[in-house]
Amino acid sequence: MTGPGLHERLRDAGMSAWELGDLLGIHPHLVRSDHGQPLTARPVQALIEIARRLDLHPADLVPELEPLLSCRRQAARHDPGGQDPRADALTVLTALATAPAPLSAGQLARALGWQLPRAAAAITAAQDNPDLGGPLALRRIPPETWTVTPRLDILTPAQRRALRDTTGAADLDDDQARVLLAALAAGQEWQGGNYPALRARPGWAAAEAALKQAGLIYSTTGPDEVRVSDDVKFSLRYSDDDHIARELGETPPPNQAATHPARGGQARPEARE
Amino acid sequence: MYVVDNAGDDLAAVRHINACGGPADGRAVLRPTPGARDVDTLGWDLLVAVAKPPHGARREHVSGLSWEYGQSWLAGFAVSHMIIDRAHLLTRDQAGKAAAAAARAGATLWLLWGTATGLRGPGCGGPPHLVAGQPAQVISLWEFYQRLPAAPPPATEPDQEDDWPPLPAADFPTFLAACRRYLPRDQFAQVAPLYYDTAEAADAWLETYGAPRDPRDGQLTAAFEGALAGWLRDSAIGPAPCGPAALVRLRAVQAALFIRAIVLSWQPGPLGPDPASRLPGNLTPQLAGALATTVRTDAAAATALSAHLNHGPAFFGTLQIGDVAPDGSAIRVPASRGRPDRRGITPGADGPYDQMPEADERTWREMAAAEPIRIPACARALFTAHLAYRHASGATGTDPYFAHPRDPAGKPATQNLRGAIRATAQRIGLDLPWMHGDSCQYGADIGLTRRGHSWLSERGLRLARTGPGQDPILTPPRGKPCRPRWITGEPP
Repeated sequence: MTGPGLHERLRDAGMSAWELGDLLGIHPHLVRSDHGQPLTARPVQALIEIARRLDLHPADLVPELEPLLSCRRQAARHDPGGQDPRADALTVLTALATAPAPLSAGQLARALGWQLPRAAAAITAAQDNPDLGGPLALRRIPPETWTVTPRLDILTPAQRRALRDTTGAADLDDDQARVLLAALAAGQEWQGGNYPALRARPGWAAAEAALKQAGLIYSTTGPDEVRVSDDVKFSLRYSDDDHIARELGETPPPNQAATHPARGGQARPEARE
Repeated sequence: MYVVDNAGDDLAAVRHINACGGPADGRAVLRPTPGARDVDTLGWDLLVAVAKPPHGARREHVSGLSWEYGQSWLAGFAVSHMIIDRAHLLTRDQAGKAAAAAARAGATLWLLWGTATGLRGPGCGGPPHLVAGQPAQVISLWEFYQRLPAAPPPATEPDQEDDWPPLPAADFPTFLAACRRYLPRDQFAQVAPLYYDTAEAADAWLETYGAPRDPRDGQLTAAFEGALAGWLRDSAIGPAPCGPAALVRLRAVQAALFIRAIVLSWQPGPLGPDPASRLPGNLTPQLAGALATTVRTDAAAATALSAHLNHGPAFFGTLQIGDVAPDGSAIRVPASRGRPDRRGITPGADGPYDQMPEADERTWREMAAAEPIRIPACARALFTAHLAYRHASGATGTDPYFAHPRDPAGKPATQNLRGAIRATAQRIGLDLPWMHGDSCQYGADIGLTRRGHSWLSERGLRLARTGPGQDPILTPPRGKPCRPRWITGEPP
């Protein structure tokens, strides 16, 4: 094994074998080689997932693969040493993406163990070859430091805006489920007026705020009333999809009215697959 | 019994019996080992005829029981035609044993007589040394082809996962809306009917089940959790043909439960890169096929049950013969049956008491639920084969389905089953979570909570027994669910 070891890379990733196993959906015993069986005895899929997640060359996990793989190995333990500007530029971009803050050329040279001219030449090469950065681009932070940030020429402004507004697809926790149920059952005044009392319960405000941020509920007439979003109503089968059709600009055919499902003669789920 | 005149040792006859199919088609082709004159060797040939590897019996240390297991597998696969190639090589004893096995299985016996010598004896329609005392009819190869045509080719199932669009990662409150927004309309039209059908099936099941909560404290009962797990496993999610279909079904079930204030949450984080693919049941046709190569019927059935339930064999010893449907389609453990004490787990039982009663209770409830455990069609032969083996051993209705091989009456089968399942799983490359040691009971995903083994937990599913449903104020109104007409495809 010439590249970094599994344990070393696990430590670099800040992960335990349990966490890696959970992330990959494999049993942690399949991650480590100290449970009796060598890694060569693991399923190929487990090796693929470990190599992929830890950015390891497969031959670093299973040295027997070395003569079988036609792709060129990347020496990971020693400095490439050469003056290939593209390779140096790639190193610099990776270093900047790894660093927690922008770095100057001098800091880069010190961190990488290079001479300053080599670091400066690598920065220039990175500027000259923007494709090297893939989705990231080199940015100068005044006065003389550098970092990488996402490229701006791939996404449209609307896509960027939508990504900024995305609050994540977090799953409901128990408190949020409670608030969402309350919004459905008693969120409005005509439903009994119990919601203000419910809001006083411990933990309610935080869960309500999270749901509002995720767009699942909203208030229009003050905090004592909440409404459930149309998307939630549609997904829970309280309403049809008219609001989405309107947003998408679809023209519904004249006879596409919402209806209640016919109880008789329903197709079984299997028939839909 | 038929004796097929193949005096010319026609190659076309070999080709035809190769096309006759295997045990799954109800046919077994027994090819006697040339030169072997003993009955035991023919028993191993019978095991090969019912799809076992040639050295399977020796590997599983049951070489002396080859006829018993062979007979059981004939019954398990419901073999209706047993063909013996080159039957002229058989001795009288061998032929008699094979004919008896076929008769017990209710199978028609076809003897391919590959030489012109000794086919007809005086006063007898067939080879006298083989069919002594039994009526046999000599037929030509042509008649053989007509009476026992080749098996139809197996139906090839398309790779259904490819037919599904990528599905949104949204949780159930917005899943359908996210599908509607981000999928092309034709692809949404594929998702939505399955979603609505499954949700309506969940509505119907919940109506049938009745009251899921304990009236004293409002908590969901353990029995409901077990029944829900069984329904998800056998009807709602487990039978889904692929991950995306299972995910749509899961989201629909979650939505249907939620409006009854029942929160079934899914935590896909620990399930790997394609978590939806972990949702369908584990007892797939591929696994059932691999298990069908096991000689020991108890090992095959127990491993299949373990994979289906995602349980260890701790409670398998409670199964009785009468619990298993004769066709292997269902296993019903009455909910009233006493849950066995487990050393180190059940309070009051021997050994150091460990903190696992809740997980253990969940495992038991998934097994002993109101509804029977439904066995997928592909795996039923595994259970009927063991049923036949136990019946042949003299066991009756209330005897244990899994018995200790040496002391059925005195010793529990659990430890023996554990070893048999381990060996079987190792042979076919099956990694059952419960087989890992005690150090694996705590995971990063669950902190220091002990990891129980249940169908729900293996899929990252958790039913909140306590929670919002205890508060009547938080139960939303329920009317007739809404379903856009264009999704139903009904005429307006």
